[in-house]
Amino acid sequence: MKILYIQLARLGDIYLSWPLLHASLRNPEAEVHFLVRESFKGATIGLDPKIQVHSLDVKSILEPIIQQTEAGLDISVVRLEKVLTALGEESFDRIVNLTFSPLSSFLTHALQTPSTDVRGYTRHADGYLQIPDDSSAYFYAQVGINKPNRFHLTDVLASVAGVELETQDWRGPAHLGKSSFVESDGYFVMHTGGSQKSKRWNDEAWMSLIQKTLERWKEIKVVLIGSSHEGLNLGQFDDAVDSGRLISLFGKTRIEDLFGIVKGAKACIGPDSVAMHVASLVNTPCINLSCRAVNYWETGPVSEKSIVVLKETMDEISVQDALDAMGTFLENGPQFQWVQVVERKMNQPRYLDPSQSAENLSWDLVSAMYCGTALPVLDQMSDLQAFCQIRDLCQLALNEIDKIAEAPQRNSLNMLEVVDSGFETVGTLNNLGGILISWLNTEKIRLGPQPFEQLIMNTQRIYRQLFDFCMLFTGDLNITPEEKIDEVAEMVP
Amino acid sequence: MNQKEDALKVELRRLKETTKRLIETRGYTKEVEKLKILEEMIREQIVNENTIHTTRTPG
Repeated sequence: MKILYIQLARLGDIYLSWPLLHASLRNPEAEVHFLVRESFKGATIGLDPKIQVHSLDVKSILEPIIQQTEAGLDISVVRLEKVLTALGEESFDRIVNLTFSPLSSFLTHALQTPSTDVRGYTRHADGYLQIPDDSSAYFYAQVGINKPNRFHLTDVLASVAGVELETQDWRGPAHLGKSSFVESDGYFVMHTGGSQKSKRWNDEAWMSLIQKTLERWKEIKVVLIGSSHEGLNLGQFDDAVDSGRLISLFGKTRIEDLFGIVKGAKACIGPDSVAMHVASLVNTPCINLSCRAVNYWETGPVSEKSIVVLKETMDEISVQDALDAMGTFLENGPQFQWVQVVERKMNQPRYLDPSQSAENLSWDLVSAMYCGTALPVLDQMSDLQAFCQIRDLCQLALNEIDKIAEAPQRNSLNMLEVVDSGFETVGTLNNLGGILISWLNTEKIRLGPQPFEQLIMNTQRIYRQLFDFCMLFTGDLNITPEEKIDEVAEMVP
Repeated sequence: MNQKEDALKVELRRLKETTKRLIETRGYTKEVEKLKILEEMIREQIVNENTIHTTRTPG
């Protein structure tokens, strides 16, 4: 079976895809192909050579348009056609789109044939989004910043790909020896940069951490990695540099060099970044400095003994926080105050978060909806009210759809639009309600073009499913603003 | 970068109009799909190549 995995996102996402690629190779019948952007192809260096890497050179394709040459668009179309033809000639049996973007969805559809098994975002024949598999539907509905998902992206991607991950799938390049960049042992790697400003710790904090690290642990060395524009002004550290205790590799390494450097480290310290993903592949513990601009559940480190130092913003992470975290590695300090990586279990998040936040309830609901775990208890009246409203809106929708089914010429679309507006309002005003509405909207998108009778039946199925789910919480309860709490408590099943 | 972005925005607008016209007259064809791919490539360039996996809602 010839499989094409499409990963058109950035470096980190390519590394997050490595485990599932390795897992795919366990199938002796699989011929694995991997499509990435030309500009991020460096993140495929070191992959098992059995994996055939293709690249999409977006820059080259768009160049005629950007340069505003005559017939620029036509030339760009020709260049794109060349890429599509070359990939099309491979005749893939399965295409797995790991990217979840509009571009990748159109590209996937352009490459697929009627017999191709497609997973991940693609398009219907009319150009509208198609989400063929449940895992991708989960991604569409519940994954991302400010969304309730707690599955690591590595696991979500593997689920889309339909492969089971094993510990051995987290591995870097074969025959990975000692890095030529760092000759000694006993060092921490610090990645002081970050692809986005909101994820970066400020330079002053890094400088202070470096100084205090060198002062507190005399036997420890510090290796700094990052691109040249992420570099720090290390003038005050001349002695440490001269003695070899502080090694600056800013702008001196290629992406694939990180494997050797990180593998030899005691731990890797940094924000959500490529370094964390590389560390995960070579099982080097991480101290991940993270904030709410990042969903660490999805993209945090997964190597053993890793911890996440989590604050609302990066600026709230103090140097002492980072030092204390480093102390857990060097002085066997307590880990309970940090988010910790835990042993991997099926359908479970990869982290243990010691905080008792309201977000736990959102996750409990998602877990119940998608994994069949125990239903959470709704002890907030606002949540119960939202579920009652959604239940009632589902009933309203079902009533209208019955009328449409009986008399197709009848114009009930206005009422359904009102119902949709009601769903959006409830979903916006209530977090848990929003999770249900995300599911509903995703399932409606998945319907796609189909015969009228089939559309009616499938739409009814979706509303009925949501209605039944809400009923598990509400029963026949009717909540109005005038009812007293104690009266309601007696009515709850 | 501004000049490049301006050129891309102009081309994006032109592309969107072309694909809209083609869809209305010929439906969603393979040719239209290629233009949609180019459209999305351009759009990504304009938002500073923000190709994070948690992308905006495809439509």
